[in-house]
Amino acid sequence: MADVEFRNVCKIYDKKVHAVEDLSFVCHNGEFFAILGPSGCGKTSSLRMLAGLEDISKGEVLIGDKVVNKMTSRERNVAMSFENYGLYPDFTIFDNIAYPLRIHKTPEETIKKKVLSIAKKLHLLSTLDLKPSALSGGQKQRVSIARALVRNPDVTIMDEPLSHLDARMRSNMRSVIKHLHDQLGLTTIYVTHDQIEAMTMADKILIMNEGHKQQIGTPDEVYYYPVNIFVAGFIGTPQMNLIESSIRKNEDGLKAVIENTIFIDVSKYGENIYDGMNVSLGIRPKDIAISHKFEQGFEKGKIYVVETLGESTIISIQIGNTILRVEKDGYLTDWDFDDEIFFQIIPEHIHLFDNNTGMRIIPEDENKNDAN
Amino acid sequence: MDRKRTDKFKHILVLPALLIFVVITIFPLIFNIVLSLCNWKLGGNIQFVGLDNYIYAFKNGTFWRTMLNTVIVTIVAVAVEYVVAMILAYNINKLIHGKKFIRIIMLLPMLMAPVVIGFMWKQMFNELYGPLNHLLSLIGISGIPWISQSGWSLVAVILVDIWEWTPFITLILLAGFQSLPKEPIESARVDGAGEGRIFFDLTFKMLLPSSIVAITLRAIETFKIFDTVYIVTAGGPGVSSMSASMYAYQVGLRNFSLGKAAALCVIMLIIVLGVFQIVTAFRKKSSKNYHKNDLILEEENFSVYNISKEAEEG
Repeated sequence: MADVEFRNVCKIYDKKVHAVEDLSFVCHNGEFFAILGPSGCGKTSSLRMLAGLEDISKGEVLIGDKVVNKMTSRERNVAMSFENYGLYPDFTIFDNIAYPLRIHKTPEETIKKKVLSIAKKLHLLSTLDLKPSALSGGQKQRVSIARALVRNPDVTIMDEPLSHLDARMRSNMRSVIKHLHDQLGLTTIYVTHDQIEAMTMADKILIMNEGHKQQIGTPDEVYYYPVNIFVAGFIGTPQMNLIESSIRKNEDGLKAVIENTIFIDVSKYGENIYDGMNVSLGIRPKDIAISHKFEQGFEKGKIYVVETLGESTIISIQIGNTILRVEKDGYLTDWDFDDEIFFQIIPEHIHLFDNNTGMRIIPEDENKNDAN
Repeated sequence: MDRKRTDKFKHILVLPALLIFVVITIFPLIFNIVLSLCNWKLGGNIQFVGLDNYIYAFKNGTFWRTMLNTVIVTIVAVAVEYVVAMILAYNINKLIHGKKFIRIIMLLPMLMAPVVIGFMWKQMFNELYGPLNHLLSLIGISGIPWISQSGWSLVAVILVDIWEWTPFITLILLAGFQSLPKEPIESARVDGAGEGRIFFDLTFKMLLPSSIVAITLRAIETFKIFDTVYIVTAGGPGVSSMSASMYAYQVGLRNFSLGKAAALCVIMLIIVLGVFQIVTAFRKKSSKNYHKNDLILEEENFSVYNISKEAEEG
């Protein structure tokens, strides 16, 4: 078990493609650390550098207190589960899972015990005598996870391990992986593009985009205090509403103005904003109140579309050129296309992002020093 | 109706190929078997002699001597070719630059006419002024009787075959290497396996299909070796380096005992088919996912065609 640290790590392919730029983070011993980002953001490259499968172009990677840049995968004592499984085609499933133990010269007795116990946890007992070609995609992926978890490495690396599973198996496997992580006391680095996986499993999330680190924080930090527009839009389903807006001064002080008609109180930002500033206003779909008739502080809009998800209903409201999505619990049937709707953007829940820098503007009363 | 007509049309399209196949493969094969049961001197009448030719063949020490030569050449040459090719392919595959260039160079021995290769090596092996003995003398080995002593002459034949055909196996294996999936090898590396272990546990096993194709093709071809022997050693001294197919040629086209030669060819054909059955059974056992049957079937026809053609010519 050990801490993992990236210090200003860069990965450059073929001298031109900058896959990872100046990435620094620390994953403490025992943490479940998720790297989250859209495809092509450099998350897999980072993992492969950690596993010793790619050279590190610049910077240092540390496992424990040792710089591992020059070490082979073998010397780093890491285990990895691959997105495309990486199973050994000519071995049975038992031998596949047993392989890392055999390499480390574990006695056969212990191997048998460990393999059977992990296979049981991952529902693989019936497949142990088969070869990988006889397995379904989901089973292969579980074998790959089993093989990574069967020995106690310093760091367990998982590259999108759930991407090929169906929804039910995926949510089941999420809890299995998290449970094994806690039970075995692993240090896990987990790459995914699925924010639900990251939010539900991780102690800490690193969000990357285009090779750059965007934010590191706990799931609630990245959800409630997104550091910039990218993170705000990436975390949360349905996506946060991000609306073009500008700051204007009227008799009551500074207001964020949307479509020239809606004025939202932004007094909580105090000195951090100024008259005439171009901002993006972010509001989560859950944080908008709606009503059939006019109430104090509500604005009028038109229903653009209603999407029912069973457990919740998403109503899109059109105001001028802007579409505002609202999420309400339950299966709502009392809203129809083209109906009038009254809504209120609750000022306490809004985020403002500086359009010039993309960074979040921090309210004056926010004691919490932003994640990072 | 329409469907039936198009079916007929398909059959008509296949017909020319089928006719050619019958004329140059099936007919010679049957003719070869019939001939092996007859006594036919060129120009004379054909007499049916029953199994006399086979009895002659089984009692013929020279034939079995040449058969032994053939088996030795086949086993040793193909084994050495495979090992050398595996080492070459493994290392070439790791190169970053120059792969294409090496692949082109590798094709050269196969592009050359076998007769040219034969004459080239005959000069190389020349015991008095050949470059090979000269080079060996530089490191203190002198006067190797490449062609004039039995034993060495067989070595000479094997060397030429290795030189000529190692690149072929290398190319097949190289293609195999390049189509290997990366993930198993990478995961083995992360699991802590060393390069040697990765090779024997994974790479070698994953390359078995390519290996079996290469070895089968080469074994069948080498079993019929003729041109190299004919030019480099002429089978000599005596019959010490003569291959079975060259002996069949001598019997048939030097002594004009076509019936006897045909019998020899049928025996060789049966041996090849027998070995092939064993290889097929082994292949089926070793890998279920392997779908190269078509290629091998083609090769089977090809070998039948060649052997019967040799008996047929003249």
